[in-house]
Amino acid sequence: MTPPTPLSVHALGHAFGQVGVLDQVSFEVGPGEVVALLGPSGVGKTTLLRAIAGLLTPGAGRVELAGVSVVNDGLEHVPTERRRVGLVFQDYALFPHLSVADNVAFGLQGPSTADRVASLLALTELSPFAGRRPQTLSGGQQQRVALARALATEPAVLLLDEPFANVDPALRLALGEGLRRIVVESGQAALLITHDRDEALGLADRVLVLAPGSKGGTIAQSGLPDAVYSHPVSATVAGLTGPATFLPGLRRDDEVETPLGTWAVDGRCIGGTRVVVRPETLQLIVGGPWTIGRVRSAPPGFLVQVHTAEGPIWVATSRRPTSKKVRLSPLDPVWMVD
Amino acid sequence: MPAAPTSHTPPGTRTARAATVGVGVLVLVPALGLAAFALDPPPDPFGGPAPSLLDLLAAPGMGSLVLGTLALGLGVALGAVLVGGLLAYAAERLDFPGRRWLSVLTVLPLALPSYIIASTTSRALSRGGPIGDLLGLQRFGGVLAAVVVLTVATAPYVQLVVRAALSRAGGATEEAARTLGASPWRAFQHGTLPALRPALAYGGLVALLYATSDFGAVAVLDAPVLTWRLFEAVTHQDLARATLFALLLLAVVGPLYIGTRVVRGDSAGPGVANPRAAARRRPGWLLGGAVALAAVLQIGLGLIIPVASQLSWVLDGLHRGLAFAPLVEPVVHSTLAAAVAAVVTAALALGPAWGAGQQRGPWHTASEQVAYLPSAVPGVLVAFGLLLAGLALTRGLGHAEWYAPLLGSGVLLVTGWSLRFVAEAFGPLRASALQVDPRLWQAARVLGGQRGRYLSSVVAPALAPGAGAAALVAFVAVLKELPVTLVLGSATGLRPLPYRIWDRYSEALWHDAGLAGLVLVAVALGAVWSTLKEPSA
Amino acid sequence: MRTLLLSLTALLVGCGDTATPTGEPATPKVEEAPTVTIYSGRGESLIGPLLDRVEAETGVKVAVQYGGTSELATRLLAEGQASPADVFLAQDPGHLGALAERGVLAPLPESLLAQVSPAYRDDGGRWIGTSGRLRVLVVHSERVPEAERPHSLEELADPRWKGRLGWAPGNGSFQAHVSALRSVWGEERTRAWLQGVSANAPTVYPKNSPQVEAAGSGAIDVGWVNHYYLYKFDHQALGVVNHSFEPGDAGNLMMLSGAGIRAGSAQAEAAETVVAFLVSETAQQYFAEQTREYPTRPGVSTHPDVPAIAPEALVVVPQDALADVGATRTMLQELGLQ
Repeated sequence: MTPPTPLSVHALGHAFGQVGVLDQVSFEVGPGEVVALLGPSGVGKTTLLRAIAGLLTPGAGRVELAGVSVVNDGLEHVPTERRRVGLVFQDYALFPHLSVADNVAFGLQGPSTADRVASLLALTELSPFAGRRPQTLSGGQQQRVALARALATEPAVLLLDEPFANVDPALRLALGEGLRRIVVESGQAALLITHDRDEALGLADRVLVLAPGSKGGTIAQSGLPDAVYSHPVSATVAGLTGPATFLPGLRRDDEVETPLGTWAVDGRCIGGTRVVVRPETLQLIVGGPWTIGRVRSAPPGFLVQVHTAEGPIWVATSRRPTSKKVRLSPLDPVWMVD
Repeated sequence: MPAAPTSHTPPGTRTARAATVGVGVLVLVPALGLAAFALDPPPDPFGGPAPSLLDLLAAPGMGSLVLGTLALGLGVALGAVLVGGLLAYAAERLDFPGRRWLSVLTVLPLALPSYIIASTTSRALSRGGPIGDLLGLQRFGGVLAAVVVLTVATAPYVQLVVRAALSRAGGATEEAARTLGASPWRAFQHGTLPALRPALAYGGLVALLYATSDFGAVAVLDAPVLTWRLFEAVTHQDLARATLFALLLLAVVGPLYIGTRVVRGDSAGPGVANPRAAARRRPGWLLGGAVALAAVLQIGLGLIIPVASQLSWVLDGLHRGLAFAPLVEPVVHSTLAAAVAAVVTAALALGPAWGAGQQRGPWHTASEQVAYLPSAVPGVLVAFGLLLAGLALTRGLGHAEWYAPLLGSGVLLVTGWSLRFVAEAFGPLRASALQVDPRLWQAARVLGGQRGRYLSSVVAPALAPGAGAAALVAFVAVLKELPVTLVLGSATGLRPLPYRIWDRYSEALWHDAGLAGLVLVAVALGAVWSTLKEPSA
Repeated sequence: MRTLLLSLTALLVGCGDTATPTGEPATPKVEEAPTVTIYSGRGESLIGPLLDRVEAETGVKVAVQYGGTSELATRLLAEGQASPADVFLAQDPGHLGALAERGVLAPLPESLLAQVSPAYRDDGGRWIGTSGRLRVLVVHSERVPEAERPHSLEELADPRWKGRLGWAPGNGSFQAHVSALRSVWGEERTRAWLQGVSANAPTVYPKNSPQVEAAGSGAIDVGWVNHYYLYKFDHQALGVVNHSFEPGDAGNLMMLSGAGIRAGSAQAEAAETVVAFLVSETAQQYFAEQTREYPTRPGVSTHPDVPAIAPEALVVVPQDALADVGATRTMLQELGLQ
């Protein structure tokens, strides 16, 4: 028997007054899957999260948790406290008057509570802090307390709201990996809301790109991290998933004529008006019409600004350029969008 | 190692410090007057009761008097916390039709003096009044009635304090609790209540202090408590008894005041950096019903009955063709007296405000303590203390006949008012003083500036808005004030609005009392309305 | 504030006096108009209009300080020879007598004293009664039908009056009446009666006027007041009437309001003019018609609404008994009524 889908969102829409916030959002999170919802600030990610958690009733659409419909067409069937969601808030929202262990135990009842708390504290490496008040812990430790507390009730899906927002850039890698390890080890399905594309692409099994639309945020693309990065379906998605500039081009079958040259096109892409250019897309070839401008150190290589007829383009190279005049050519077939 | 040059202290500092000390001394004057009489009570000239304080203390009824005062205070504290806390939660966290109106109307009763709420509700709820007849009530008076009236008078303040704490707390922890399966009550208990406890404690203590210090309501309702008995003893010239009551009152009020200062520091509660506003929810039947009940009590007794009663008294007087005593004299007296007092009060608060805004260390703390201390002392006690101080001074100088002119000149009256309200003037002035950057003086010195020019071109303009606000606050407060006016004012020939209301109400001349009351309430409501409109500092 | 300026003037005049070596009050210069300072224990709303007419009628300027009778009496005592007061108006006779006993009041000229009946002035000639006020019960005519009304003041201690009474123990007239009772009944009987009435839980009012209105509205059935308060209200509409006791009963007390001149006053002549005005026909008619009191000047009749009362119906109380205010207050305090 297949386990029920942890989270299923279907045609979810919401508006605040006349302003549309979400428009026809549909996606699923499968068992044990870590999904990142990537989108810019203000696109409606938090609204979506709160709708799933029940802190908000969406105007339209359906949400199912573990196969059970919790809200449909503006009617709430199941209030927050009976939904099986775990929510890790952006500012953690820990209970300051309770100890770490009591925080984790908050949603639990019954004789096995103590054991479960102990195992969660071990999982999150917080066992030495069990008796402490949350205010005495560091930010990262507090986040793990929030995570342990949310996991304790074995929710259908774990929701994480901007987990990297308050984190020092230097610590992001360690923190992100730590989070993923805990979530995967607990076998939990998780939905991660973030505008940090590096962490979204780096941690998730699958990425949903939420892009701004005329009637609200909408899912522009859903796929593996590499897919949304290397093969974006639109210029918007391309811009949201990494640094991108666009070159006008005229596509002819498997080739494109651009002002910088004629290049081969990846056959899988559908678009035919613009080439997606990321720093690593093009390489510098000595001798050519374009002048090198600024050279930025970007270990382990460099980012080079090249002044072209289409304006300045940043190119990533592993070695400092030796000549001032270059031309640009892609290593692989380029990707195009409309 | 070169010593730090003392001329680094900005100009005006020494003057401000001297002024702060001066205010501190002034605050002590009533206490000294009280002490002089307590230690050496003069015999009653008409052979009245023997003045030994210990004898009086052991007299029957003294214990129940103190207990009655405490019961009043505790009852009001409990009531104000319940009503004010509930209405605060409704205003900040609930969603229902008419919410915005409720959150404004339930706070407006702050404007009304307690004696107006008491006199109007007493008449309306006693037999012969519309509600008294409807409910079959006999007489609305005594300690229980005073608890109800003072709860209505203080709950708005508790509500404001709790609302501030609620908005600081944000809604995240309560939402977190709900995602963990907590029922709405458990979510509130663990999510929001811990953050509210300091605010509730502070609000409750302030209500307790206010209730035990109140004069207007307990006088009108004839509640057997210390402030009212103190006033009665003063009017009967029974100074020995009055001294005893005054000392007992101090003993009750003193620890309460210290309590409020201790709790005040935490009152805002822990808060997150940018608290997300909590989502509002619709209340269920029980909560909604409780909120409705609290609102009816607060708005009904605190706003509707006072205004409607006074209006009906005036209309009834017109209908019966009664002669209205002209209002010109009380209005003019009130305006002039309040204006003078406002200027004096603001000037008095200036020194301590400068100290609290500009200086660090012991002067900073001292300035705050000096400014807030007199607000803890009940008005009738300040007035009585000044009375005794005047008596002691004139007798001590061997010229007892100077006492009457001293009383008649109004010096004691204005002093009493200023002491009563220096704490309220202190707030806005300190806020202005805080905005004067001390480094400006250093910059001015570098540019060759002089003290005089610095004071006139930098300090004065910066302090002007605060001084204006302080004077306005003091003006409205003096306009409504009753006990000091009664005790120290009658000899001056001053007949301000509160006196007119008090005098006419006790003579059962409701139409006159109503007319004067309506004017006073209109001014007071206008003042509160304008402060509510402005964004809070 | 006229009072302020006049008080300062009085102070200066007073200082000038004490500097005179002979110790006699200096004769005011002819050019100065005399100003008489009055300490009035009678309320401004009652006597203010009359005092406003003094200057027009007599040419003497007056400066009035209003206050409680006992408060002003105490102040007179304390100020002694240097007091600025010239005339003392008392609401009740007790303090007049007490001040007279202590030599504060000067003997009045026989011609002045003769203008009122002997019963209405001090035996020692130091004060003169300006109007009389009768102690009565104010009752609701229907709720307390004639047959039920008490014949004697003592009946108020009967338990059948429980919850139906009102009184004003803080009022000067009340205290004067208690002084009278102590003289007529003796200490023990008076004390027992006060305790008996207290046991009936009478409603306490600050003054007399509210009792009339309360009897009308039904908050109380019986109030213990002075007769003239009835006429401040539309008593027919309220349905209340005054009730006196059987002739000679201790409840039928006629209390005098009176005036005295301070011994040592610098304005003795002008003060006498003022006091003479108060017992003149003009003033006595004011008391009769405006305040509905009993005039002390023979030949001036009471207001038609006010029933005449035969002197035999009144209780006879020695004047010095009424002056014993201190002991009365002691008793009232011991009983917890003050």
